[in-house]
Amino acid sequence: MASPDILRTEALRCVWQDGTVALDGVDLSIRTGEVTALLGGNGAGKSSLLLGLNGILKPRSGRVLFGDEPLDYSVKGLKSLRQEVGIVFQNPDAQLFASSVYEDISFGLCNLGLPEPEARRRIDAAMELVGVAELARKSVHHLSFGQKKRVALAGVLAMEPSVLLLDEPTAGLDPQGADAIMRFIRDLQRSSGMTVVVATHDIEMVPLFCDRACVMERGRVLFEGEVASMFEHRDLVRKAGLRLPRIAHLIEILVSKDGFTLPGNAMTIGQARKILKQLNVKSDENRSV
Amino acid sequence: MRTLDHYAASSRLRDVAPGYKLLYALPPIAMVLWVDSVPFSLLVFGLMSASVVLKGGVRPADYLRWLLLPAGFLVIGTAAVAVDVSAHPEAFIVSAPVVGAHIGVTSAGLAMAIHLAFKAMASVSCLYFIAFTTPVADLGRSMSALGVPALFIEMTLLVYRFVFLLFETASEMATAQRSRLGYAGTVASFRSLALLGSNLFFFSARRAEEVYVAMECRGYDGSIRILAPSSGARQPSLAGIALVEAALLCVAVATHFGRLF
Repeated sequence: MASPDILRTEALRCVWQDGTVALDGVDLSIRTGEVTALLGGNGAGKSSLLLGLNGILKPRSGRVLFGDEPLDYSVKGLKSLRQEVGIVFQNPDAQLFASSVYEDISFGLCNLGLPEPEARRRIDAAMELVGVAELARKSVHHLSFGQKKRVALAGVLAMEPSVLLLDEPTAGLDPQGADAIMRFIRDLQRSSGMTVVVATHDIEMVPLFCDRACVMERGRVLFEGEVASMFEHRDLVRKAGLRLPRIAHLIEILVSKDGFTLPGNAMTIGQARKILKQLNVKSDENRSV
Repeated sequence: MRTLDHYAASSRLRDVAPGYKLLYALPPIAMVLWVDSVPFSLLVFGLMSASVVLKGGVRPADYLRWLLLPAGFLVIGTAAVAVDVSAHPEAFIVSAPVVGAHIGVTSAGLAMAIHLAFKAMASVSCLYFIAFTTPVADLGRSMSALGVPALFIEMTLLVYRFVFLLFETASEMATAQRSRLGYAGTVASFRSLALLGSNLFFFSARRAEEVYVAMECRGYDGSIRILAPSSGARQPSLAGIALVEAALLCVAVATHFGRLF
């Protein structure tokens, strides 16, 4: 049986070239086949952690383990790591360099040294998957921001990594576009068992699309656990410069300020409906007694 | 205004294999330069313009507007050829005396200028045919088929991609400066322009770093290997192009040796 944690950091400490401490002793386990949200305000170290997991940012002390093996920072080791751990950057313009969509998606596959027919099959599949097939021959600079994000994602998905690291996948997208991309990632994880790590401060997305949450502040992990348990640790969430999802905040106020006794917590509209319905049933029972 | 690149991307001739388009548009340039006759230049100009507008699907008004750009340069350039200086006013068609000499236009100079202008416009129309129908990426690929070194093509395509990014960023920065009155007055304009330039330099350096990291993440090891989209390119009949070129060549030869025009 495979280890439940596909990626692990142990007392990971990373320092940028200018002396800024990016990560200050991070102990974190990423569970296989789950969606983990990395939460934190600006400069909390989310992006640095993603770069650390991908072997771009080398630890000053501590270590990163993939499977149960510490990362091998040799050229060959990094190459095989990056085949398994793909990263999609926040700004698609920093990632897309080729002149046409098709060529850009082919880049990673050519680097894997795949035979051409297999590479072409994977490019077509990846374009189909993220819905950019009709853009294949387009120039990258003629695409909209949302399309660029999808193409950047396709370029990484085509490499068929077992872990997908996403830096702010919803930033800069309209609400429906953001929902669509998160739903897509969730479906992908469910259908292919891919492990996903999402760095975001879009807190509303977390209870809808993620299994676990990790809250970071100033290069440290404040809290790590099931998304549902974020509610109990809301003081830590707030300490990190974040807030609860609106629904969770509403429930909190109803209980603490307005004296409601609710049969549970809720962070999404679905969960809130459930407990309000229960409340409704109870009050009906009280009336009929 | 849309960039030429937009026209190329949406051209009806876009999917024609680039080699054929080069074969169609490049030989006429050589012929125009060799024949050096106004009617022949007009013929080539008409043929290429008709190809761009009728076959490529560019709106005539747009095409004419794009022609104004080289036409502007041409007027300035050929005017210098037509104008001459001489001590004797009788050589000129029109002239004006300027401190002991005469500046004016001779009939020979005028004829030369007109020849030059038509030749240049005909050549421009040939190049416009390529520019309006062929995206740069396709041109790059056809260059590799001609044996141009891969490094050169990689550089060309990277520059091409990032020129757009640089241009976009520069215009955003300039807009932001303008909204804070950065270009009100000469002094402010110079200062703003200098700041824009240095900011762009830092931006480029940072962007280069980001792109490098992102490429590394996808296994970049020093050489860019990519696959071109499987060639869905249309292969027009070679005979048709050859026929057009041969007909042009016949007219060119006949014109050159004085049998025509």
